[in-house]
Amino acid sequence: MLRFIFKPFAFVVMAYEDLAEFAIQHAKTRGASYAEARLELTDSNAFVLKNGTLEASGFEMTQGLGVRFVVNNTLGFVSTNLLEKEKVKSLIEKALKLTSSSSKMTEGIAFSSAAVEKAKYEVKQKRPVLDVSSEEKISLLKDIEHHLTETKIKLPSRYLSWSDWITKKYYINSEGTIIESEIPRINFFYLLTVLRGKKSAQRVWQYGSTTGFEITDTWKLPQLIQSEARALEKALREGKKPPRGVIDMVVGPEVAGIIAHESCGHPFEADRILGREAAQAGESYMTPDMIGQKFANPCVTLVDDPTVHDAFGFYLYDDEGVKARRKYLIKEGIITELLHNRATAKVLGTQSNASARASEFDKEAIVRMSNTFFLPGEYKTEQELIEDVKLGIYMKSFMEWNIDDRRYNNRYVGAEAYLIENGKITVPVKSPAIEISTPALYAAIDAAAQNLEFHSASCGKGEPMQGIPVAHGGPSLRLRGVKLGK
Amino acid sequence: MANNLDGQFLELLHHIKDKLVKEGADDAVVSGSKSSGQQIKFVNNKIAKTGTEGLVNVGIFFVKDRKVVTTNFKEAIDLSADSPLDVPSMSYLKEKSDKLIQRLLQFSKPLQPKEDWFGLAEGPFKYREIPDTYDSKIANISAEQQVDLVNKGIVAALKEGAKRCGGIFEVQTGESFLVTSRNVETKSKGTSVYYSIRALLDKEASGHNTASERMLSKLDVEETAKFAGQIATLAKKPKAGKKGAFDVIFAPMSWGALLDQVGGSTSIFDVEAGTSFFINKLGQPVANPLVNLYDDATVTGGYGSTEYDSEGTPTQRNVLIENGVLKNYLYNASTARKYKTNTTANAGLISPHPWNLMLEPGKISKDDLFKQVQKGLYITNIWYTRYQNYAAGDFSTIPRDGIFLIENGQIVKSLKNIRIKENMIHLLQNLSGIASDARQMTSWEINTPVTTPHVLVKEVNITKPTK
Repeated sequence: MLRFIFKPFAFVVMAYEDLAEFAIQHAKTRGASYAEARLELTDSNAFVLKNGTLEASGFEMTQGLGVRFVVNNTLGFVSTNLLEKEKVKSLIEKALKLTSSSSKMTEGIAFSSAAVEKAKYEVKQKRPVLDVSSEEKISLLKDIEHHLTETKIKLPSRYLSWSDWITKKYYINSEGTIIESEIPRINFFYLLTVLRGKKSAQRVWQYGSTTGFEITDTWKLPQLIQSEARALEKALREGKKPPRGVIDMVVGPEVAGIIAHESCGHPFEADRILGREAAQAGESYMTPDMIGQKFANPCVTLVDDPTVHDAFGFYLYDDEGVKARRKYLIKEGIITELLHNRATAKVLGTQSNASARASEFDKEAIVRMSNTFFLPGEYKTEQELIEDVKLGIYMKSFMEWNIDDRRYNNRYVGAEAYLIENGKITVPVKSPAIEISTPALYAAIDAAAQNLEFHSASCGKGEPMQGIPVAHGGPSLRLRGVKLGK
Repeated sequence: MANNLDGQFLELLHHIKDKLVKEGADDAVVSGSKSSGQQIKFVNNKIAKTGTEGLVNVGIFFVKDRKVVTTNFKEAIDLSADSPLDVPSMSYLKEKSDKLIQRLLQFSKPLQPKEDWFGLAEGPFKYREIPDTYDSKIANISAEQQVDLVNKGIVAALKEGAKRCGGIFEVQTGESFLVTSRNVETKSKGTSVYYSIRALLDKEASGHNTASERMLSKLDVEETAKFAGQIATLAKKPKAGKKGAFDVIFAPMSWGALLDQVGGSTSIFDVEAGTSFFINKLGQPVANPLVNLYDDATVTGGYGSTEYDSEGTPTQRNVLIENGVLKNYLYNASTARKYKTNTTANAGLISPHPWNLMLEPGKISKDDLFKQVQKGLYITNIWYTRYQNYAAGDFSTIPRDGIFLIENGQIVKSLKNIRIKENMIHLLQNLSGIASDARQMTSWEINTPVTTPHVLVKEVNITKPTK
């Protein structure tokens, strides 16, 4: 489930490496066949500008330890920010009792083999985000606000939120793997309400990256969000109803991204396929025996790749210490690979592809996406895709969307969208809705352009809920023969 | 011993608050919490994971020259230890907190004032203890007991015909402390137990149910699981649903998820931010006159019940919708002063929020509610509610688990692949029947605890994929 980060939240430390080692050794001494420890320190800042007023500002330093172990073939997890040996020991003892008692009903956890890794990495920032002054961050929000109000468009609510943080992790396991990392993240979220007469329209979106503050030069947020407000107002003023009947569509990278995330990324998570998320985010239309089957036209190649620098879901080693790599979920239309952690890989007779992630120290690592996107196709530009459409819709961005818990029944409703007539974009269209099954959606994609973009979000899964930074994206895609929903 | 520890925690909070006041705070709130919990996650009738946690936190809310700052102090404060702190430890913590305060003051300097900040609630207050919110049987539950309850639930669901079950069993114990610069000093403790079970017959037939309680004796794992199992069995071999306007009976789990949206929309923060569908609707009919909706943090055994809000105001029962008319937004002291009204004791220092949403039950049974439906749907659960326009209330959401066709008051067919495409106000206004079987719930989709019975809503717009 994809969620927006509405309200800033915060983060977590280390300097307790010996405590991590102690936790592992204690679990081993008490009979654990496997143990790992993950120390996290996050230092964060957040600012909210609501209708021009600085509503709240905050900072946090959070630190904590998560310990996972296997005893009697049963998985146990311990988390605490009480970073003191006796406290950690007593929590592990408590956890061992519950885990040992649970072993009479255990599913029998086992891990696929994984290379022993020793690595240390950090993201280099040109302008380290924690060094940039609060004034400059607030000034950016104020500048966006100014760009909005100078349009003279009626914007009764303007919610702008900035957050940034750096997470340092120290991961070790009983097999000898040691990974240290330091990753910065920036997240900007906004919600606009545009009013014209009694009619209103809204837009929610967010921008995220794993870089320093220099990314704001690329984003150009004040200009970008001003142009969105203008487009929304124009749609309210001039927007036509979308056409009925079967038409073609061109969807921009933002819409391609949500399609990639919802109807391919999630259903390809092996834990869902095996039923481990049944009572939470749900299961999947996918089955392991579908690997090798045709899923889409050959123009469709879709990957999940944590190693994309700058993208919001970036990492080089996952939270089980496995080295990250690009995963081809669909290659030239054929299903090729699922997303695995070590446990799901073992069940399905393969190796982990480093998809285990935890949102914070106090959550277990589960199978997650990272940066999930369609690869560019043969058409150089979005315009080339549009030129070949006689009657259709160009959906640049979306607002309402959802998908069922087996990831079969999709809905994406346009925020900024236009009519295409004889190969040209003509007038704005109000809220066109794609409501379509996943097989029909992928069968409809007949071409991809080369304008690859990444967008950002917080993806929700697990219980307690884990919101985790991800990117999703792609180039513009063309869909043939789609009937719009209502 | 416990009192001694509490005293030490309060001493630290007072130390921080006094320092902040000395540094010129207009307002300061310092809160502390200690929590411990355990969880069992079960999958395909087996236990997949156990979880054990122990956490402590100190939160600071600071206003100086109307500049608002929040922060948390999550250092390794061993205040939930079984032995009291020694004097050097307290000195260390005070020293650490003093450094944090210096950072806070630095952080605050360049900020701009929040012109509409009108101050915290003025204490001191008297608090009324809320019964059945702490249970030593939860605080001291054994490992064996937890595993036994998980097993009982699975057995009960399988007995109804389900083939596999997944879910969560979770217990939490917590203590919280609060001091403010406006003469508030208080503390409370509480327990909770949360149980969620999804029963599946196969990939397309499932039923889900949850139970959220403060007292172990109120939790009936077997009854909760039985319902999930029955729905899964009834959901066998679903057929594709049709689009159109249908009378729909919502089960507590699905209606609760929608009421969670309704409750959130009453927060003045959401009204100002544009994420409420109740903007400019105060005093207006927003629902069928049958609808009486409250937020009540004082209810005995309420999952979200609390004696005081985040600034120490004693909580109360608030009428949100009375006979279909929107009566109140939810405020903290500052936002209430801004709008020249009284706080509803729903702080959230930044964003007021509901505690326990309660729809007043009707007088008819669930069976009689079904008899009112000649042709319609029964929707047991929903998820993924998303808006095209929050302010207008335009949204869609997806039924999951058992979806059924009702004819002449009877379930006649299992359905799949439909969606609700609606407007929140339209949905509330079209509510035409409320049963008497109210049930308290939280779930993956219900964040604020909601107590609701089955309800009947007329002419709900249902869509389906075009291909």
